[in-house]
Amino acid sequence: MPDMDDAILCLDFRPHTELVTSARQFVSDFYARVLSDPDLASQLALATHELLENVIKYSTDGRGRFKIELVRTGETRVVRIVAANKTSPERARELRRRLDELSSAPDPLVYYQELMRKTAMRTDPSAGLGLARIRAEGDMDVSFCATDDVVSITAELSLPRSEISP
Amino acid sequence: MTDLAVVPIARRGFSLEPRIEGSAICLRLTGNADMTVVAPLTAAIKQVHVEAVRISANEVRCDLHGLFFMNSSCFKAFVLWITSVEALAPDKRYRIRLCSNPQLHWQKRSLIALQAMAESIVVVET
Repeated sequence: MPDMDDAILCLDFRPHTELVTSARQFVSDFYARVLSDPDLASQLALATHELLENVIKYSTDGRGRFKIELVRTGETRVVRIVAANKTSPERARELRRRLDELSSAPDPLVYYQELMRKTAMRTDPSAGLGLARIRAEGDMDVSFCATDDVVSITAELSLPRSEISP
Repeated sequence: MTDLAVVPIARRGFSLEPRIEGSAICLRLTGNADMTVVAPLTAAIKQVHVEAVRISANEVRCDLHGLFFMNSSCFKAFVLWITSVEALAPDKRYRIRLCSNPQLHWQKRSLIALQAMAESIVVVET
């Protein structure tokens, strides 16, 4: 197995639902081989799917940029997933509000349960659960960046060195 | 045999097959529950709830062994379902049994989250 430091996969494309499933399966298969814990690969696959579906739903030009990288930070490795797309100012503001709420919640699991209750009251078809799901079920840090009309969401999973397959 | 007024879903990539088994309703979900099946899945689950109340089912069993993935919008359909069962009078409530596949790792965390919503209603079986 080659050294997987700084392994980067980048897609600049127009995702549709079948491609989202293919990307999720690829991430799941690839990281199941790189990481020693298949549960971690499944967390990355979940984040990949949710973030790419967001691109389909909210990209104003239909395109999105998806990057997944395994990088070294000190003694630990981090898997970082970034999904970026053009979007409307309203969507960017809504994303910022959700991410602020998510990051300020002291317990991601409690916040997720509260959000599940809230979402049951909502009448609009959007679940509004995807990012909280990545945070709580995927155990990943989620952050947000907006520049001009492009928003990018980053989900990060820190791995102890023992999690990398020899 | 009681007829079940639940429309099955048979699409490329996803299916939902309902049937009655004794005093329980059984659902078999297979494939990928992604954004293309949110509407039919949500509608089917609403029908299942109505039928479970109509026939006084004691349980709805969901076989998820072949469900490779469920996105958050489809997950919301299960959240709504659980809140609908909670809203029933206690003597009308029924169990939702989620039969999981331990090889599909996403199921463990997602199904535990659903169970945590209502532990008296949702049972996760491995």
